[in-house]
Amino acid sequence: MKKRLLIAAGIAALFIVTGCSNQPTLENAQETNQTAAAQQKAQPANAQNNGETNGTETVNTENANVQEESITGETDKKQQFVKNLAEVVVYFDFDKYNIKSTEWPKVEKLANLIKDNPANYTVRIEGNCDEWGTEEYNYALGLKRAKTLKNALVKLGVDPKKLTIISYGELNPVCSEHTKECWSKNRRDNFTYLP
Amino acid sequence: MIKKIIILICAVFLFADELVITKYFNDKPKIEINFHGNNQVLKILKMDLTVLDHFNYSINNDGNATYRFEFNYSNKRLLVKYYEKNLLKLEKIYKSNSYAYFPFLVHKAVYDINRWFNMPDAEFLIRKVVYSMLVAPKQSNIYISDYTLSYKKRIISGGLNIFPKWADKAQNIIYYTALKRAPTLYRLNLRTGKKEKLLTSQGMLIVSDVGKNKLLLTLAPEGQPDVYEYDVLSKKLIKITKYEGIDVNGKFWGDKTVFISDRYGMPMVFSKTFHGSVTRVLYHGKNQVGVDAYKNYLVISSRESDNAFKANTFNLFLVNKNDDSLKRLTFSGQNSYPNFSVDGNSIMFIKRENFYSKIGIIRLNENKVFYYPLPKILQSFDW
Repeated sequence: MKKRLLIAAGIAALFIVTGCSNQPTLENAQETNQTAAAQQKAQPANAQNNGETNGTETVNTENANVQEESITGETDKKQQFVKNLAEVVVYFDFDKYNIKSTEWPKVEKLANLIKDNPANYTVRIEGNCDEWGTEEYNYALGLKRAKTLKNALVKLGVDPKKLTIISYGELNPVCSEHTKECWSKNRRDNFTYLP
Repeated sequence: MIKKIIILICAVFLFADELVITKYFNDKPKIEINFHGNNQVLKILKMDLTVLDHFNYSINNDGNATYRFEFNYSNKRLLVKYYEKNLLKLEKIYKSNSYAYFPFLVHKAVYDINRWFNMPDAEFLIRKVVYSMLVAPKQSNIYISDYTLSYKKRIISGGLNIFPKWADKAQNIIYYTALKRAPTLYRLNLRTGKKEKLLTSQGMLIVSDVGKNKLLLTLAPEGQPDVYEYDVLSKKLIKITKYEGIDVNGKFWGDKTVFISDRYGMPMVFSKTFHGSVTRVLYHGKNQVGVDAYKNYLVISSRESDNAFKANTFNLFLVNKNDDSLKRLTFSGQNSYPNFSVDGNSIMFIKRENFYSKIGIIRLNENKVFYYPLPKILQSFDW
């Protein structure tokens, strides 16, 4: 098994190294004596993929099987909770971050859902926006949407330590058509389970 | 007089509804280019000369112009010869180690010709553009390109990598935010590959502006977006704005900081001295969502229509602090994310019209605007 991991790590490392192509360079009239090789020597490790796509994280599934039987019940319960959490979506009006009265029942349901699961976890509230507006302001708008939800959940008795917030601005659309209906679907808060 | 009017009409037709054509038109030096090379290189050359708009140029016309330039491109090498009255004055060779880099060879050659004539600075030609582009939900990569976006190199991928900003004048280092479990600010040296983690904050963390050893950040450590000043050397963080709503997009503007705030119920541009009070900058429009600053100038993206989704939604305005003047720069579409060039002579922005995005470049002295189509949504850029 160790040998396999070593081979996998070796291949991943090879991908990273070959992926680090040199940044092309420009030489002007004063630099024409320099060869491309010399330039490359002067810039040994240029702009590169940061490796996040080629990350070397590995999962050892051998031991997971051993524990599977004893934690099945807990896993099912957790999976159901994660699913229920993902099904809640709170929508907002254009350029607003206050919770609409029509969305309040969802917030109350969400608060009960979290309170009924006292285990050790965090819920990430993700604020999202439509494609309108300048990006920085859009991120702040998404964040305020997430913060509003956090405040409401805390008022409804949820432990603030269980909640974290993030804004994805317009970068996590669920709908990409250019229609009002589509934009309204993107102005939303999602909720993600973080172990 | 007749000639002047004809030129004016043609110009207005070409750049309809955008800007009023004024000076420079009849005074531009006449140059002749003899070009030998492939069509892609020629296309970039034409783009450069058109967008620069400092010359009356013709290509391969075999005329007897006073100023003539020979361009020879082959095998990743561009040879440019300068002739004045058919006398060879100068010879320059531009080389790169990659064919894909040819747009920069042409840009540099045109930049040098512009300098030869002592024309107004056009550094945008040789500056690199760093931008983030959404490629899939929760997936945005960071790329480097030339100003025409013809050359493109992916430098960061995997997850959400957003708001890249040049950290140095030489364009070797960038700041960017990676949206992981919490937003994290990195400083990446493109030459050495060295990556430093600077800050992590809950909610949001964006470099809004880069000054001398200082950054303006939008941070939300408690989930509350405010403008902060970050000292790169001492790592000290100072909170500039304190408002319970939204304060974002801070820009250095002389001894002041300008930023966007919704403290009047909708986003507007405000300014603030370090210890002073907050002042509204522009009493025009209903919704000001983007701002950039250069010396005494501000460029602001402002919504004028009551209908949030009407075609004529956001337009760009140029504010001059010295004479309190306000100049409209665009007339239609949704024009956002205005960004001054380093020499302040040009403004790059994103235009959305009829459900398409494009990059716009406004040449301020020349009173012209040029567009390039965009294949996908550009998240943000710096040049």
